[in-house]
Amino acid sequence: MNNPTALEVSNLRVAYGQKPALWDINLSIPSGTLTAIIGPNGAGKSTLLKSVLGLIPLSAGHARIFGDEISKSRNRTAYVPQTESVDWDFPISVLDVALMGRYGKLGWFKRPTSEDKRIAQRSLEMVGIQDLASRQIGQLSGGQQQRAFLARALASEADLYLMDEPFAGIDAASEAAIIEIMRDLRKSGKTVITVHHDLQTASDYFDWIVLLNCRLIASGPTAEVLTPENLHNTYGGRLTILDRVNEANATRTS
Amino acid sequence: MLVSLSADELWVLATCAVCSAACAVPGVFLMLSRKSLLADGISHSALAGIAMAFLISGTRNPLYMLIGAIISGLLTSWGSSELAKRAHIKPDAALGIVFTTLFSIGVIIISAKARQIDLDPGCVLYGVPEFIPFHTSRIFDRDIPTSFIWLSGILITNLVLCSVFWKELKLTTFDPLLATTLGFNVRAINDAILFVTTATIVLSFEALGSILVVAVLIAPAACAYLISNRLLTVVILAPLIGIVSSVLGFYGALALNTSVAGMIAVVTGGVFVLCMSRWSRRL
Amino acid sequence: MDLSTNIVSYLTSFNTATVLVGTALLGFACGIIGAFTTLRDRALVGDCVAHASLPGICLAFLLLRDRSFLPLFCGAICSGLLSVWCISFIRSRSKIKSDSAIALTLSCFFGAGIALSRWIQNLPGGSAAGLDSFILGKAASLSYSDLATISFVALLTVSMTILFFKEFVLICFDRDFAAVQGYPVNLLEIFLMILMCLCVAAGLPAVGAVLVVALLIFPPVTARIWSERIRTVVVLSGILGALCCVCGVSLSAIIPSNYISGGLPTGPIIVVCAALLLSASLIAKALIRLINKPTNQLDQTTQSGDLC
Repeated sequence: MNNPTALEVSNLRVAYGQKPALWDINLSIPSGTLTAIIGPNGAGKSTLLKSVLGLIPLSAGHARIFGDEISKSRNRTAYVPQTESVDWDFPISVLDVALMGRYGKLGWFKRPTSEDKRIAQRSLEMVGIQDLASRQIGQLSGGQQQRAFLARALASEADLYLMDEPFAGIDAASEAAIIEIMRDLRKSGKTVITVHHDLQTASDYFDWIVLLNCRLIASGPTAEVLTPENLHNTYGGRLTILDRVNEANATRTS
Repeated sequence: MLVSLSADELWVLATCAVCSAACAVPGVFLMLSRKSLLADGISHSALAGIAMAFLISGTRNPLYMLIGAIISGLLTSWGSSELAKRAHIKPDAALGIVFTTLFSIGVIIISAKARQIDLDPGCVLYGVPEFIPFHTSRIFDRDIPTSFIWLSGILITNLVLCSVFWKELKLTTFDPLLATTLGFNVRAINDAILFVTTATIVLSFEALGSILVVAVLIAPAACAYLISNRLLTVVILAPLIGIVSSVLGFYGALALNTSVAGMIAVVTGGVFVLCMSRWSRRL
Repeated sequence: MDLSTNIVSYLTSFNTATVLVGTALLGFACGIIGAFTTLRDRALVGDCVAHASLPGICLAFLLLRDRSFLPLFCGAICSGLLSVWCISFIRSRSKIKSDSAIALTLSCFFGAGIALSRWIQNLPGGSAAGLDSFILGKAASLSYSDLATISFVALLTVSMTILFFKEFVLICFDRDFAAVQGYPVNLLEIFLMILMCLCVAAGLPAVGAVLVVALLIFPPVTARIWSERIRTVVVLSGILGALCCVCGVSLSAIIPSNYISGGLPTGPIIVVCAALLLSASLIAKALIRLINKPTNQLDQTTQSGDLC
């Protein structure tokens, strides 16, 4: 049942009005990996995630999750967006947010069962905010809010997790905690694809990298992809810091 | 098809045209600062101001009405933004709360004092342009409708203020934060825009009624905004579109034997639909 | 007719009982639907729907030559729905922002309604279209069958909300997530809007066009002051809506008509009751916060060892 390819994208093209955001994307990400999508600002990284999920229409091409169309693989996919688009005054608690992750499995009309609540509670424990379960979400700090939405994804017990900058604006210890969760997911055979902003940590955390700058620059295992040439092509010119990153990588792997 | 108009009809047409032009100018800035619904709110709550003016002054003096309506308009704006900030209520919900409350108070006062006040809330809402020629003032040895005088005055005022304070308006509408850091008193500028808008709205009641004023405030501005990317073009186009719409609306009302204000609103809507079909873009 | 006579007839009249039940159900339904629309930042779309229903009412009258409630009600719903569609069309196909879209749709539709109603008045044999009761409402003049329709709409709204509760909460809170989970978000939104239009159309005769939006805004805002949980907010909002309607209708029946010729329209009284309730809640909540202040010195969020 478990398809070896978690995400397969062919000839994908996305345009916002007249402006193309992504074109001719062809890639294939294997199951059971931690993948980072990396690129400069405006490279289309979030757009790629959203178009794969069907949140943005494709101008051309298609995407398959575990070999199926997104409409058929919804139950196996979880999405953790960048958190700005939510109304923090909305009267729901942290546990309610986590519980929402179960709705896809519940379907129409049915109320969450006590088993669902137990799973939601456990996902709150996994991210370490179980004490905040009954707080209204507006009362949380930025990092806690991020973790609440991560708990929501974990509660859905998906096979593929798509995360948009999960480490943005949180401190190192929380980042380490989230990476541990990702590694646990990988150990249970799940796949995680994240948009990541930090080149330095990319080679430590992830085993598959996608370099993106409106077009696909490279996609493959970390060591193969993070070459100076690929990075030059992705970031197009701003090199000094990247050169040092490459040297550090080179000395580490040699 | 040129229908020959009587002198009275010409005055109605001219007043409505001037009214639309006068409204379009503040309408542009209102629309751009996302306060279009404030115009709707002010229009409704003005009834409270007018009713209070009757209550306090005991007369039907239009000047008192104007002052009362302006006060309630300012109260609506300040009240809703304070309510939104302090009680953590969303801005449009706060606006809805304030204007429905003020409107209700106005209706209760008018109903309670119905015998002393001869004011029909309906007329405030949808205007009686047909009566314009009958309230005249004597200027330069001619009888000119009072509405026309006031509205011409406010049109000229709006245009003058707009050109004198052009860069301030442009900056505070687009980027109030930057304006503040550059030392402009954004609060004062917004209050001034609000004052002028409220005065324009209230002066337009006789011609168009309070709810339909919103149409000539926003729709021509929206059309101009669809057509052009440049603020100057938008500010010039909007009153022109307003004038054209009111002329067409007037003739339409004559032809169909119906309400002038209603037809003007319909025509402004129609012009907007035309602009949408030609100038809209898929986002 | 003085105060005591009015009170006696109020308490003993069957008509009063039916009006009260009908408007209470209406207030309850509006409160519930208002909770969702207000939370979604669509509070004033209800204002647009209310004003935009006028052309539909006029057209229904023109086409069917029937002044009875049901055809006018259907006309109101049709043009209300059309206005909602216009707003989302303008929003999605142009750079016009949603507040401007609402304002211009509202006024242009209302203008069409005014033009139509004046045209009807001017027809040979046409009569006064009763615009004032459209704008201000007159609950006491509702007939038994009107109330039946209103009650039916209210019950329908409430039952649909119960059935689709978690779906409505989901699309109001996080639309993208709902889409990712596989819910047809557009259909659900349309459904919610249809329910809102039904409630608005049902509320027009009772409260009038200008004030029916208050029934959609006051109860949920007041309920939100008292609770942070969506289920409580929705139910409380319904209860408060029913309460305001009952108080308003009762007061307008009791207040002697020699103070007010022709009796007081119900809409404004209901809104004043709602405003008093909201103010009392705000003040009470502020006082409670003030009283509780000294014991809340430690902020719990910073004490639990969380690192963010």
